[in-house]
Amino acid sequence: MASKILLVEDDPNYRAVLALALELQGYSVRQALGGQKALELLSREQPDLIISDLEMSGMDGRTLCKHTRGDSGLRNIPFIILSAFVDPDGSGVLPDLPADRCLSKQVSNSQLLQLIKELLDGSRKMPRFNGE
Amino acid sequence: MEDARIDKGRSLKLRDKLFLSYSLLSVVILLAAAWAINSQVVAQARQQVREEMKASLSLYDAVWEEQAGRLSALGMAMAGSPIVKTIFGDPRASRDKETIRQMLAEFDRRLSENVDLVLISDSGGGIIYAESPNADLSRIQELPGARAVAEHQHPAQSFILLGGQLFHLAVTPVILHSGSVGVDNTMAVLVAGSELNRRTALELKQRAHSDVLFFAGDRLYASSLEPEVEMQAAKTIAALAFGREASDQSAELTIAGEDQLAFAHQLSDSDGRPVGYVVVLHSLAGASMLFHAISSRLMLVGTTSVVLTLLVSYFIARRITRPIEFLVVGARELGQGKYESRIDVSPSGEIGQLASAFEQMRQSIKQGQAVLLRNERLATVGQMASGIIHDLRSPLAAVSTAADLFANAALSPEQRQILANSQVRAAQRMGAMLKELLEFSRGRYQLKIEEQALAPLISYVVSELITPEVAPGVTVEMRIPPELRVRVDGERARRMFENLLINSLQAMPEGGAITIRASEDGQKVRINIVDSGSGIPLQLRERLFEPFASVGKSGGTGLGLAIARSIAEAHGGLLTLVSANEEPADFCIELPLYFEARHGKQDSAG
Repeated sequence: MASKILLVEDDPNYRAVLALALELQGYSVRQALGGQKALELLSREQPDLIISDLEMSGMDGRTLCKHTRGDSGLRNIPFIILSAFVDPDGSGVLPDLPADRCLSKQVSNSQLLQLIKELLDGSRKMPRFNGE
Repeated sequence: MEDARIDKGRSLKLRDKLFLSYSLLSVVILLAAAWAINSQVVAQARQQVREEMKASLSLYDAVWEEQAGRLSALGMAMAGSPIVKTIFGDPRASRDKETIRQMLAEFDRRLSENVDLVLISDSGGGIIYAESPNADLSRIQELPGARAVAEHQHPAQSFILLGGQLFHLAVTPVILHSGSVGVDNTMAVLVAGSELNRRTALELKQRAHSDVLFFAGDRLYASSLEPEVEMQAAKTIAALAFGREASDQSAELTIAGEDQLAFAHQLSDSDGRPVGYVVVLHSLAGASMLFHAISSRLMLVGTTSVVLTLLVSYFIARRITRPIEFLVVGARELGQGKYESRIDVSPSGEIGQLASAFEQMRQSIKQGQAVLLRNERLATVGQMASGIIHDLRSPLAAVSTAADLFANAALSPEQRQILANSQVRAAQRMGAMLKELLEFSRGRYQLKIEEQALAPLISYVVSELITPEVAPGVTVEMRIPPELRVRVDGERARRMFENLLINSLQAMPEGGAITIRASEDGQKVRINIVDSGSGIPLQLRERLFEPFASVGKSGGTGLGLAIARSIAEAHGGLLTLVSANEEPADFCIELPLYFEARHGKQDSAG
């Protein structure tokens, strides 16, 4: 069964391209244009990985990330921040952000896919606390 | 105008204070000098008059001496006469009045001149003979002072009040020479008197050129004055009570409208007791003419000096305060942030030094200001650059990801279409951003103002921007009176509304309502754009209209509100956030109803 990825991004254009790139890799992609919409989707369905933009109107990526980390059911879902505010060398994000990775939007497609694969593999080996 | 403002609220200008104190000081000095000169001159003039009076008086003395001398000579001549010897030398000789009158007749020619009284006494003072045409002499028994003259065998003169008349007496001893030394005997005393009457007074006046008055006590006996002024003069002089003092006295008085100096000289009897006094009047007309001449000249010189002093002190005060006024103006301009106006004061003197120090300060502030502006500009450029970089990353990432997929993935025609569209949109967005950036960096708009209805203008923007695809779940309510017209550059106005609507859409990613209201308010049109979003965060409110204040939000350039505000201001209007904290955003645009663009005609050229 294909891994499910939740993609949170308020730029519809970039979201569409990124979603296509992920689908081409065989992932099942759910899209949200803001933090609020993402939480709605999360309450209905748990993804295997979350990719979120940082600065968004409404609920931003930081709040969303902290929210999932505070929820026992969502805590272990790998969380990738993909932001224009992260520089290509990985710097530029406050250290207290509890995401698994922070990536620049300038990251290459292959690097991003590689990282997603690693995180998904890693999380499969980890014990799940929600009983699964 | 500038000067008037300097003084506002202060009582006097420094210039006026300096001017007043200089003037006051110099006027006081001038007045003091004039007073000193005047009093010195007047004192001198008085002194001169007094000297003249004294000269007159000694002239009178000389007249009296002369008369006394004449009487003495007569006495001597009589003493040597055999008839006189017969009458007075022999005690048995007849001394009846008739005999003596006959004797005197011999000397008549010499006696009659100015002699109004003849008395002859024996050596003991007993009256032998008394004769006067005017005075009643019947009661005279003894001749005062005759005994002393007889004893000392020396003539004397004195004054006497006799029978209601004032006389000047020359008392001469008639001496019988015995032949042996030291045993000459005084046979008799001869007295010749001259009445002090109008004739005497006129005679004196003729010789000394001054009026004279003879007084005994308060009573005037005779004077050289005209009868019409005599009474008044007598009263005035009597009031001065010259007779009370034994010494000579003087006083100033006015007789018949003329200033006179009166000099009183005591007339004493043979025992030195005061009998009366003679008053010599000397006109002060000459002195007062001199005084007036000097006064008027002093006045002229004084007035000229005062005027000159006032002028000079005014210019001095002006010279002192003018640079200060320049400084005040310069300081005020500096305070208003006008660092360009040079403070041009000549560098001499303390104020000049202050001015050049001030000028140095101005220059260094100006330089500092330039550095500050440059730094600020650099900071703005840095902020803009940072904003551009962040905002370009999203479309750039879309383009690069799409390109990667084109190169490396097997794509269906639909997928190719999606990616191609994405790339086009991303490129368009980057192009739009660059265009706005360029426009914003130019800062000034060339407006093509046209009067047009407001409602269709806004409707067009709304229909273009708010479509179900771009803004799902967003409803727009427009409450714009159809008759409302505005004078705007259509393209810019559309851009302004577009930016505001984009801002509202970004605040409501998951849908909501936008209300657009417009109304006419006096000379302006007011347009409110209200959305149902979460409102403007407190930390953003202050910098909301600054470039890149909301950097990082997808879909915006970070310049939208800054551009909208600059368009409103270019139309002579305002763009403000009128909603309170936490409330849904309410942006208000105010545009003047009758706006004329200054650059409207140049639009085609720009």
